[in-house]
Amino acid sequence: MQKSKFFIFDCSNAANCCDKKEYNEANVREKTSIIIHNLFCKKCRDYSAKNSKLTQLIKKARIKGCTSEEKRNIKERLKQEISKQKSSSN
Amino acid sequence: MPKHTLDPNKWVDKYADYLFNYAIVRVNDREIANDLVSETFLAGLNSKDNFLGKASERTWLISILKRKVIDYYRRINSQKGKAEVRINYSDDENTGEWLEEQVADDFDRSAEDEMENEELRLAILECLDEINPKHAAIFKMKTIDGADTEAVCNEFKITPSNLWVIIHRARTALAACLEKKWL
Ligand SMILES: [Zn+2]
Repeated sequence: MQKSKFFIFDCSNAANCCDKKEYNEANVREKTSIIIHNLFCKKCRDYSAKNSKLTQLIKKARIKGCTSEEKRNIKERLKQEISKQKSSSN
Repeated sequence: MPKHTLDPNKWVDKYADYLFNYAIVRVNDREIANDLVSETFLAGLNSKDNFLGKASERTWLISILKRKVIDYYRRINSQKGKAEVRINYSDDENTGEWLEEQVADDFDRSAEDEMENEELRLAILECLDEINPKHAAIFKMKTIDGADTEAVCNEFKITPSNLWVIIHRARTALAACLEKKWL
């Protein structure tokens, strides 16, 4: 494929591979391409460093999200209340 | 400064995670934390006419949640009649400093770490409030819940390449937002 010839020089591709790597979803070709790209591109080198630091911060924060199910339940309660208020104000 | 307004229809998507994280470290129980968050939204709805628009929606909701948490502690304390809890509650809306401690427990290193983690946790969620809500939801599902790409794409009806574009934007925005203090 023609594209692969330029792949290594393309910053947006490098950023994309870098993001995937943070989620352990980069394949060997993608991982290699970042290493090579970063050798000559400072911008992407900086992005990679910041990106992995961000991953560590997010891990450290141990954020506990509400599940979509829990959110749906809360929304349901809120919706009932809103409609109750609407009907009583009419 | 623009006057803040309330938009209850968006509350759950925008603030549920933030409030939930605040509650869960204090009550240490998912179900109770969920109840407190629901009660907070309901109380907010019932007293929305008292909202003066001086604080942001989130600050206002968190001040309601603080009171809910305190009420919760009072309730379990009067039920159990032991485990005395002292509550230091500063009503400063900007810092939102609030500290609850068991009297018997020393304020040890791990508690301090936990406080710093909480500060970071809430900072991340605050930053995510600033980006497109759908992008924030996608980012959270992928990054915080650790869902796999396929599941996220199915849930939001997007392609994997859309997903990675959104993730990239969210990560860049988040990094910029956290930069000064944390990165
Ligand atoms: Zn580059």
